[in-house]
Amino acid sequence: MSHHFLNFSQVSYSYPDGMSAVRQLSLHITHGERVALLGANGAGKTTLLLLAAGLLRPTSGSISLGGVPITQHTMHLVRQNVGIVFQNPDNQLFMPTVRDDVAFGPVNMGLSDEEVARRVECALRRVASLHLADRSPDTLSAGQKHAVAIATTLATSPNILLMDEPSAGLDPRARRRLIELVRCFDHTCIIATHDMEMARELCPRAIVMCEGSALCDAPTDAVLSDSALLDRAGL
Amino acid sequence: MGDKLLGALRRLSLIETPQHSPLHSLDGRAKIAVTLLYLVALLSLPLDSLAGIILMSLVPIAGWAVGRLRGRTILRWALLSLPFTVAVGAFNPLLDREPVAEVAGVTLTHGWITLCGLILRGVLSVSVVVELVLSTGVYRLCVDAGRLGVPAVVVALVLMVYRYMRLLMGEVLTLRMAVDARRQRRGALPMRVWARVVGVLLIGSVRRARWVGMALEARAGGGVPRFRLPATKWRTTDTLFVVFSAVVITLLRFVDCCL
Repeated sequence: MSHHFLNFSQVSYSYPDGMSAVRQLSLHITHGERVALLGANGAGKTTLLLLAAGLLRPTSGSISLGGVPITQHTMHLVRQNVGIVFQNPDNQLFMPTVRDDVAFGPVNMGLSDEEVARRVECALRRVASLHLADRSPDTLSAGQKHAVAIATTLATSPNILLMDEPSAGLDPRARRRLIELVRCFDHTCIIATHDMEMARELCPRAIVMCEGSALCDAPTDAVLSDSALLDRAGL
Repeated sequence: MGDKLLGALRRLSLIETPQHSPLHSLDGRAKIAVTLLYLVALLSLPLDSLAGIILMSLVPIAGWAVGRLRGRTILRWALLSLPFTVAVGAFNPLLDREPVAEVAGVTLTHGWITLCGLILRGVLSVSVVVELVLSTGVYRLCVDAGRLGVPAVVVALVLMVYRYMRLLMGEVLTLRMAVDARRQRRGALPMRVWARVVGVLLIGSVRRARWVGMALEARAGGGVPRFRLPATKWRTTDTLFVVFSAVVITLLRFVDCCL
């Protein structure tokens, strides 16, 4: 898989209670693109990210990564290439200390102890959280948890980074640091966000979602200057 | 209740945070081996051998002192075993009335002695296990058990249950605070409110558990998650600890035979 492009073809997803979260969605995101997923609450942004990460399977349609369809048999490829940062960092952090949590991904990639240690230090340094390494995630502030959650994903060196509301609950400095971090990430990045300014600053392309469908897929500046569209999308 | 839960959560976090004491610095496998040896020695003592059982209490006392552990926590957990041991041996004094001694005019029967032996063995057994957990941490304990040959699936399952338990506590805390913030009157909540709260709590914790499961899946590389903490190396001190403890435990057990 030389190019990490994502392709959604007529993808639909309904939750077990029958709620339809994504409807007949077709998308193509090329390697190195930074895409903002915009939409009101319940528009299907998070479901789309979970589908892209292989954590949910489409009810119909297909998703492929670098031309390889995402199935149970190709899941290891998805895990190696796609990293996801959840909206709530409490859901992402499950190990006893920050260091162990960041090491979890690299350890499960079968890397050597030295390489794991190097990646942990590098990822924590990138989010300016190296000093938190021996703390328990339970004792961190919301902003610190967000930073560590991002580090857990960066440590696996993903080729596609999916972020769900990464700037929610961050103070201005942490938000600025996040923007710089994503700007330095030179692979594919999909960010579901309500933070329009961050979307404008980071993502040349925006997909506006409404009731599980892509209402608009256009350059971010054009999207954000179309007030009728934003109003229709509940933004 | 909120304060107590918050305290319990903080204490759980503290267990998992590396501490500095001679007991904490030992390899988990060495501590597991010594704990198992102690349990075998203790549980092999006859129930009426009170002197021997009391002598065996030196081991958890030494562990408490060397590990600088919270005595109250150990005692609290140890006392939790009381209802079970009392329930098991409650009929001993009634069924076994053979007199064995007389203390200040009161005749002690064999049934009372065995009941006391049962209670003491229960308290001591739980104490050493609690000390093992407090000085190692649940995560590291599971990982070291895995290194001793416990199947990875079992280790992952125990860790997930532990994580779910912590999630449940967090949910209870959040829910309790939300209830308290909007309550006008103090006092216990009516049962019908509690029933609804428990329902919401279970749904909430299952939802959270599902998210944590997805977080695990996303970073586990497609197989059974491997919980490898930074590897602790077996050192000479670990060997010395096992040998020294084995000698002491065997001696204590042997001394009992002489009593």
